[in-house]
Amino acid sequence: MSGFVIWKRMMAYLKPYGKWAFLAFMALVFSNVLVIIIPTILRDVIDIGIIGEMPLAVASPQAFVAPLNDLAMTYGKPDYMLIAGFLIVGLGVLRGITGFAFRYFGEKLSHFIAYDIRNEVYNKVQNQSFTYHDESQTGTIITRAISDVDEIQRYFAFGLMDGLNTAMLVIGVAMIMFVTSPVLAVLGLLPLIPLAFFSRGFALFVDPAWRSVMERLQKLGNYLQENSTGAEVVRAFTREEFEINKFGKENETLYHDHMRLINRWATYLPTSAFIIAFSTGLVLFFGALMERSGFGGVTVGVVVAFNAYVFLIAQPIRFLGFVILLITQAISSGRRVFEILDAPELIADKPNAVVLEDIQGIVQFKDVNLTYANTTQPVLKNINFTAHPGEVVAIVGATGSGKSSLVNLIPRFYDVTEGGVTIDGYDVRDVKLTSIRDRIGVVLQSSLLFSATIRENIAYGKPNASEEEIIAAAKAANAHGFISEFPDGYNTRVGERGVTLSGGQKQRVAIARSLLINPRILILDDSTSSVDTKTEYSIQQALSIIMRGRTTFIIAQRLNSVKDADQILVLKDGEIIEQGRHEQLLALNGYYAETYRLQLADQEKVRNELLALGEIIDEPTPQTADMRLATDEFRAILDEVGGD
Amino acid sequence: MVVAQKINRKDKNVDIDDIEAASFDWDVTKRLLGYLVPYKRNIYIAMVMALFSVLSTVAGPPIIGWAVDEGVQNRDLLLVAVGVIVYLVIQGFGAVGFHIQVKLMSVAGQRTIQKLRDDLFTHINYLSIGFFSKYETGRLIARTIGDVNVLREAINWGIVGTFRDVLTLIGIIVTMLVINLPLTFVSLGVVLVLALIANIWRIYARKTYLRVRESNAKVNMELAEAFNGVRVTQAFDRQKHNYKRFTDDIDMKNRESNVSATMVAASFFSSIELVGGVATGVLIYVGGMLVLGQELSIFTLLTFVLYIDQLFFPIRMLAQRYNLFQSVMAAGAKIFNLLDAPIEVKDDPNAPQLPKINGHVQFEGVSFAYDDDSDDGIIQNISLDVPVGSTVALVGQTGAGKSTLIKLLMRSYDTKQGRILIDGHDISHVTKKSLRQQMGVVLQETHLFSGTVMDNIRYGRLDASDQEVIDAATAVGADEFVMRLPEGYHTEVREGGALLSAGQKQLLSFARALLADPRILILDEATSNIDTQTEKIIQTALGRLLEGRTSFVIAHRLSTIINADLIVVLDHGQMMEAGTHAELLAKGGMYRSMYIMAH
Repeated sequence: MSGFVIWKRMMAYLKPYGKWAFLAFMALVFSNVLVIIIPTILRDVIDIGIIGEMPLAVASPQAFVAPLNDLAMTYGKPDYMLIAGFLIVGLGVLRGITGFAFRYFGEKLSHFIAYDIRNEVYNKVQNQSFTYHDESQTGTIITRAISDVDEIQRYFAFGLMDGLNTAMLVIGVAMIMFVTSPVLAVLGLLPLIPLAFFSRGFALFVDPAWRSVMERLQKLGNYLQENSTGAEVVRAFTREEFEINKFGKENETLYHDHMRLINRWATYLPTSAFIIAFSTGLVLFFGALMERSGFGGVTVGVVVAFNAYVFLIAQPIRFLGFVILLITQAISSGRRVFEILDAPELIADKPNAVVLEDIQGIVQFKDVNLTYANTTQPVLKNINFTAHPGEVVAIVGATGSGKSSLVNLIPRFYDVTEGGVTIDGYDVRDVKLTSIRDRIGVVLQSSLLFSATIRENIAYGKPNASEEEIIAAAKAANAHGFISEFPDGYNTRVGERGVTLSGGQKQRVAIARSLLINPRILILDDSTSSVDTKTEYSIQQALSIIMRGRTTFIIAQRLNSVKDADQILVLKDGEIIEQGRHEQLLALNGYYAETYRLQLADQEKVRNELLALGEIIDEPTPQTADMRLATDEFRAILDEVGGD
Repeated sequence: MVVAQKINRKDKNVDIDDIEAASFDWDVTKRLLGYLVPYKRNIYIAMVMALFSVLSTVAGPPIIGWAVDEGVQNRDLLLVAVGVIVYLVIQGFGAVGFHIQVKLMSVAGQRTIQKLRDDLFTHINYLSIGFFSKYETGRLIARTIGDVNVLREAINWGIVGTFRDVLTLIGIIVTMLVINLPLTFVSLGVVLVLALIANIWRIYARKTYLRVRESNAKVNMELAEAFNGVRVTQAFDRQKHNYKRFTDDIDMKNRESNVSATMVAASFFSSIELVGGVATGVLIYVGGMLVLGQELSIFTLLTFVLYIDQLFFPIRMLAQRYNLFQSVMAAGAKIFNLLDAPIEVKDDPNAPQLPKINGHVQFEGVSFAYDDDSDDGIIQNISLDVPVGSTVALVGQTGAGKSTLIKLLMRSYDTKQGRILIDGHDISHVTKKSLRQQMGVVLQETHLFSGTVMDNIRYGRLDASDQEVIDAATAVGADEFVMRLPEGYHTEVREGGALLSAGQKQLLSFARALLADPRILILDEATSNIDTQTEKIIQTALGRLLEGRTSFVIAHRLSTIINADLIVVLDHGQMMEAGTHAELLAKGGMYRSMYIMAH
């Protein structure tokens, strides 16, 4: 897209706020007219009111105050002064009002536009496919949604409005100066032309310099972050001095970068002020010269008015460079934002998508092949299996064998490349996304919680859940115990500015979250990977009960936990190499059997030792019984609320 | 200037709850001024230079007025030329003065904040580990980046700026008084009204600014969280709900706060214009009448009209600086608070170095409790003798005191009772550095620093050659996967090591510890599940790492526990039992029941 197309598209966001934009624009025009008139009154006060000579050249600017001139003739100077005074007061008040309207509406609409764009981005990104999110860096998208939208907002508030303001003012003032005295106008405006270029060059220097200072600061922040999260490592290896030196060096560089920037400011500000003073000096001297020789209608009042005009436009010109910068930056920001908004949605409902009212939980994979976008290597090859309602399907295999990819196809996080995944006989691509995702509970590998209360986190999939349901779900996930121990219980905030939960605790909250939606299909992606053995044990106990009656897909590293599955799929390089129940797979004596033996060698050893010691280990521990109770309670509550 | 300020407001390193303004605090002020002492000369010279810019501001209008009155009106070109030249010379001096002032003060300001940041960072590095659980990273960054920045502005612009603004105001008023009394009263009225408006504005500006910053931070936080958690959101089909919450609440509040800030700013600038207009009108009438009565020259009238514009800027800046100095007090208090956080474990003033050790470790009746009185991590009367080269497995529930015991050994804390000896040296009497230098640590979660894989392994011994680093990696079996990385050992480790699996990161931390070649090794085994292949490599590497060193292992792997020379079972800070696997199983105590529970 060319810059102009992007600019046009950004401007289209003004449409809903056309009224305000119009208001702001009119106020701007009006206010600038007033601003330009005031010096002419001052001029006439001096020329007519005080000195009492009629101006030599009677050009159009007099038209503004022509009635005043007649007044002076008719009523005499004191009345003239009074009226001029009142006129200026009146214009000042009007200028205040129009200035307010211009500033307020002009900037207000920018915040409304930013709000609209931000929402649009939010919605778009939130609904983008997993593929999209895999390929883009979350950090980058966040930055775009934050700083690029800010940049566009600044464009509308300051770039567009200040730009228009500067343009109007400069044109208006230049016009009136030229009409009054072209020669003096040229002399007064001449130094301001290099000032404009000077300003542009300055802005072009300052912007990247400022960015680099910000980057350095960011880097210092990153060092600090690393240093504090790695505080133990730093101390363990006695690297304090090393770290301090590293930080000190960066800090020193920051100093020099920052000084470079400040030195430019320290030069630009006084130099530009001097250029303006120079312009004033020119107007004064040549104005006097022309007044004396009676050249081109220059009077004492004209000199004074010109002096005011120079001041009037010098300030905006001084910072013109930044206004131009705002426009060019907004265009590149717009380009990035539109790139997000225009990205095709890969996973979307078909126009005639079916709504699945109730799901039984038959999941079928038919000749499924999957190759991720922008890659050539298929991650799943020719996958075929059927899971019946209530069955537990375990998926095992080495890292990178395609386990997660496989389960991700069920809630249609990705679309298959070939073949099809069906739920109750419907291809997942033909049904409404929400109708399947509402009935599938997913516990992902890393149990991400949101910075909100534990209650809100558990109720994430069902925001209107009752207290009882939430507690029941937590109990079933074996999380109620530790939650109750927090002083604020379920109202404890987690994440930023809240308590930090351990991996196991997070995992259990995540499980409770999935349970609360009472899913027909449950997907557990290595949900016990980041917990210690004891917690794993208690989570597994909870899970084994919860899984009952739901079609469950479970990915696990520890084969011990998948022994009881109805079906075990062994994946290797994206293919199912073995398939069956635990005993069957052991009998095959293949990959599964080998891994199992490797993993369970220790366990077997323990078992034998314990047998030797005469311990009976198959009895359920009391904890399990408790949990079974909790889960039954949970079911009862779910039944009560209608199973939804 | 205004535009430029708006463009540059990109400081996002300030956290939400740090927004209160503090009243004047003498201690904070004194300490801050202490930092400025080395730059006394800069400040004095800058103040002298500021006088030039004050002079140029104050003298400008009368000179122009005089040139118009005496020169233009009387058609005396020479006088005009003199006026213009004097004007330009004074403006030139003002410009140079301003330039020097800004430069000198910036050096003072930038050097001061550089020192403050260095001091903060240094202090943070000598604080004990426990500090970081109370003081989150975000707050540390807010102190070191955001709060220090507030001081920067105050020093660079605030000190001399305030001096200049006050003098400018005084200068203008005095000049007015000298020139004409009645018109001075009109102008003083304007000053009063402007001061009043500026003060009201100051209060509202602060309020709306804080609101905007807060609502803005909330929007940013929500965006970050929503995009990071997008997979969970989709899995739970929450998009609509989230969208509604964002548009109706978070983003809406942000829009509202911004619009009210707009209202405040627009009202302020417009009322200033209004007052300016009214004042000019009154001046022209009053002054014009006086001129007509031959009591006043055009010079005077013009000077006053021009002064009206000059009055506004210093008044606004003074109001703004009042807010700035409030923020400085708050920021300064928080910075010094952090700088004053006590360093818990200090070396004795003339503590000797711990000589090269063999690794014989003795705990003699060691007790410890954290200051916050919690039961977690207490240690009660533990005595233990660990011969050179043996592996000790620490076993027990979370909070039993395993990691506290290890922290005591590393002297992250000092014992409350009893002592810890290494080769007969009490560790609390030698320097921390000499102690820790001879220990190696592998933590449960591997922390990687930004830099290459090579840099991260070399963290164990900074003077190690590339070959030594590669040897260490090879010894723990990490070489293979490192070589498969896009740039081998020179691959940049991204934030948090996103590129590497948990198992791979662990192998790197093994290599790091091996490179350090410590006599005593402390290892907190990772709990996360690692696939069988990597697990096998890790087991081998572990054997390699523990070999010949005195090791303390917080053990989660069965094999590690079984192979340990000594298993120490901790419960509520007490040593319940100790012995080898076979001994403890046979004993039928706590170890056995834990063992059965887990397997």
